[in-house]
Amino acid sequence: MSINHLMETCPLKQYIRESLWEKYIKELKKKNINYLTLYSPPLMDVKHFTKKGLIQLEQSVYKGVMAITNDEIRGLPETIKRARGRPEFLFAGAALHELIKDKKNTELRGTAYDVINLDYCNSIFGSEDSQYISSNLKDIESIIEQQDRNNCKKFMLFITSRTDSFNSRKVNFAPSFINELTARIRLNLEKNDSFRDKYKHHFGTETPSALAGRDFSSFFPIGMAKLVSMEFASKNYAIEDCDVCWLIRNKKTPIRELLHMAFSVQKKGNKIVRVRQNKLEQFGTYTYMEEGVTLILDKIDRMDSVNENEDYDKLSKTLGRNIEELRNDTFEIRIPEPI
Amino acid sequence: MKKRAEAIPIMVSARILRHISRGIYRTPAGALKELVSNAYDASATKVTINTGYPVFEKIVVTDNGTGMNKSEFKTVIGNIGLSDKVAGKKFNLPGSRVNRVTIGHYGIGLLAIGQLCRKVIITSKIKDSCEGFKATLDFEQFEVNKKDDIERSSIISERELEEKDKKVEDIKKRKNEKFSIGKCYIEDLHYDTKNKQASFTRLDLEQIRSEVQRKLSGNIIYEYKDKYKDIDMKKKYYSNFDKLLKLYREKEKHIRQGQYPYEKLCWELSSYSPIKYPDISIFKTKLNNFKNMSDKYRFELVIDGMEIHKPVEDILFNDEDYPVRNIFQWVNETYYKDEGLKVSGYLVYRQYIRPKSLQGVLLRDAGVAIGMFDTTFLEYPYHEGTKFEQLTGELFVEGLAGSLNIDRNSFNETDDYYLALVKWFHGKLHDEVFPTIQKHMKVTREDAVDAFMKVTKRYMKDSRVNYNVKFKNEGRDKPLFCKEGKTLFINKNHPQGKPKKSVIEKLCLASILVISGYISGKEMEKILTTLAKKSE
Repeated sequence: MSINHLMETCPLKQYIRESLWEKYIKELKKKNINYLTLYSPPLMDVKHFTKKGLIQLEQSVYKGVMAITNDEIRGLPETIKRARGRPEFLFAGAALHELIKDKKNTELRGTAYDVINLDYCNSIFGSEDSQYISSNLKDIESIIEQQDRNNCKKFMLFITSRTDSFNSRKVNFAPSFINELTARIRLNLEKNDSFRDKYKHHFGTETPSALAGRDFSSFFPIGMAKLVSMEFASKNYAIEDCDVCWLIRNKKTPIRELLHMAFSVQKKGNKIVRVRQNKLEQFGTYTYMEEGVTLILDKIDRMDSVNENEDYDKLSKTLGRNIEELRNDTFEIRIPEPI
Repeated sequence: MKKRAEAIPIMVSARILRHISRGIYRTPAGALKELVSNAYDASATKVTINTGYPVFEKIVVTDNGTGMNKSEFKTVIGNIGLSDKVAGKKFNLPGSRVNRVTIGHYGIGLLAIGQLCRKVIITSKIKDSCEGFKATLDFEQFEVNKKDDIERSSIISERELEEKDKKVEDIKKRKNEKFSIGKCYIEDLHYDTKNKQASFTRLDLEQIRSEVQRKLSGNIIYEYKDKYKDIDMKKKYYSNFDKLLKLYREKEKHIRQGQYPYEKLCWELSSYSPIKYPDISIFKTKLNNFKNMSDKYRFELVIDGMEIHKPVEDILFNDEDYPVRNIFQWVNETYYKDEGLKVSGYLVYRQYIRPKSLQGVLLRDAGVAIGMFDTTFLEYPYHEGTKFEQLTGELFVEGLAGSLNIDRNSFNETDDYYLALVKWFHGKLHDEVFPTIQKHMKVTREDAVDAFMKVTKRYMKDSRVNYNVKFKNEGRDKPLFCKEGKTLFINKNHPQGKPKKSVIEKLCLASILVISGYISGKEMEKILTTLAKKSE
């Protein structure tokens, strides 16, 4: 089944749109959001938010939508077939950070986005060790930097990463990346009292490394939240709220797991704590600490998760009609299927 | 004894259909226009065209018209050229009082799309029925079939036709004689009862001809990219049709050179179709009549997700640098008295009409354009210089359907109705339009000269320079400036000396510099000529 077909039929993905993304966007209390999306051609997220009045469709244009496609040739015709309008802006490129770097892309660079949806189909970091940050992490770094440059006060960031290690104990990330996440959590345990207390409440004296081995589904969202929060904090953004939902495709092997994270972020000025490092080699440098990452620990026990085996049929019944309406929401005249 | 006249069969090669299917229309837009016309005649209120831009692998045209059932389609395909669909016939949109007039005729429109593709799949269904059909038409069957070096239909031989002909004695029957030149495969489709009220027609144009793909994607012109630096390789993205129109206006020179073929296709379709005007103020005020006229057709066209409207922009009417100078309008005037045929139209006079494609007059029959904007104004017989380029407008004409040529892009110029229209229109141009423009131009020139004189006299007074400046009629090849005593003469007939509003400031400044002695007249003439060449 192609990704496009999956996007426009899967009730689990629709659940994510409604229970996670939509919920966060509504907090903005805005009707015309500036929305950046790494979209797939069915444009289901855009269509769904339009249906909910969060994006406006004016004269066949989805206003405020900045769509990024990596398929310069087919990205547009595939979308045109499936949507009732066109994103207000469309950029084609292999990576978001490359597009942001290009000064010719004035609309992309010059917009303060209300919502950024980095709905990656792949992992946030590769499985091979590397000293460099991954392309996807560069995207996150670039977009946060741009939000700061455009003086954005409050926005939502959605990040999706494939992990394929839930319950399987097999981790598909490079050891260096896992080590980095572990180190970040450890840093918070050392420096942040409330974080330490909450962590102890859930996991006792278990080290982050041990947690990664035993319960990756808890470890990874905490590590990711910490990783991203430090990047936020470097630009004086603090996490106001965050949430997690796992989507597990377990009807067929290999089992595929996608972590969906949502962050509500706001400029906090001097409420971000800069911690001076202790080691000589780190003299003069700072680590940014902020309280918001503690919120993720509040959500660990109540972490949402949907999987194909248990939830597909149930969600098909409750959300099937919504999906059907979105799928048929195209500019083309709807032709009934013959029987 | 008088010999009986010999009856010989008129043999029509199957190739004629290839000529027709591939040769009627100059451009891909022409073939698509035919499909839009058919949808309009089928009472569609919306047509969507998905071209597959920028790849153009497949083109899908869908309309929400009345559709066809299998037997109606069989009638159409079995009577190519004998369709009783006649252009100019009035009909109402189902369930409404909206009037339309048919724009298609002959029934060969379907074959015209053979120009674009090798195969078409037609799916259709009518209202109040759960039955539909799917027909596959392969255009390749018209391509090749030679026997004895003479191309013939593959199905019926010449001898069979002769024998058939001998049996037919009734001349009336013979008039409708036809023969098979190919096959079309048709299958039944069944729909759920919940879809009983739906009606539609969808055409999937598959196996788009490679030359059409290359043409539309611009690859033909890209082959020259090494020779010509200004060829734009990047495919453009338009969030809406207004953005495409803006590019069309800005890059028109390149479009005429073959670049941006997709944009040209969209522009042509928007010009052709009986669709609404854009939501701009002029059509809500001065040209409101024409907005109403277009709206009454209730016809929408969507191309690749873009809602299309007529190809006019607000900037044409709201530009401070080039304001509209006059709008001429005629509503429901009679151009053919004997049958009371009416015409309505407008012409906008503006110094600068861009894109140039809008220069001229566009004729519309039943809201549908015939050809493109005509810069000859139906071959107006008098020379009016630049005035032709400063006018744009449309004429909505009734009763001309029978005067159309087969491609619907031009008229039979000896047709009575057409000639009557020409006479009416030329009368308007001669008696009303051009005299008004002439008066305005004269005033503008006088204004320009007045302004020039005021400025130069003031300079001379302030600087206590004792000099006069005058315009003079000299030959075109005589110098621009000529000093005679204390007077500087400016040659009005020199290309840089015409006292036009657009150049008067430069001329004024140049004259002051010459009078002041900073530069000689000859050197200044060289500078002005070089500047003029660069700005072209």
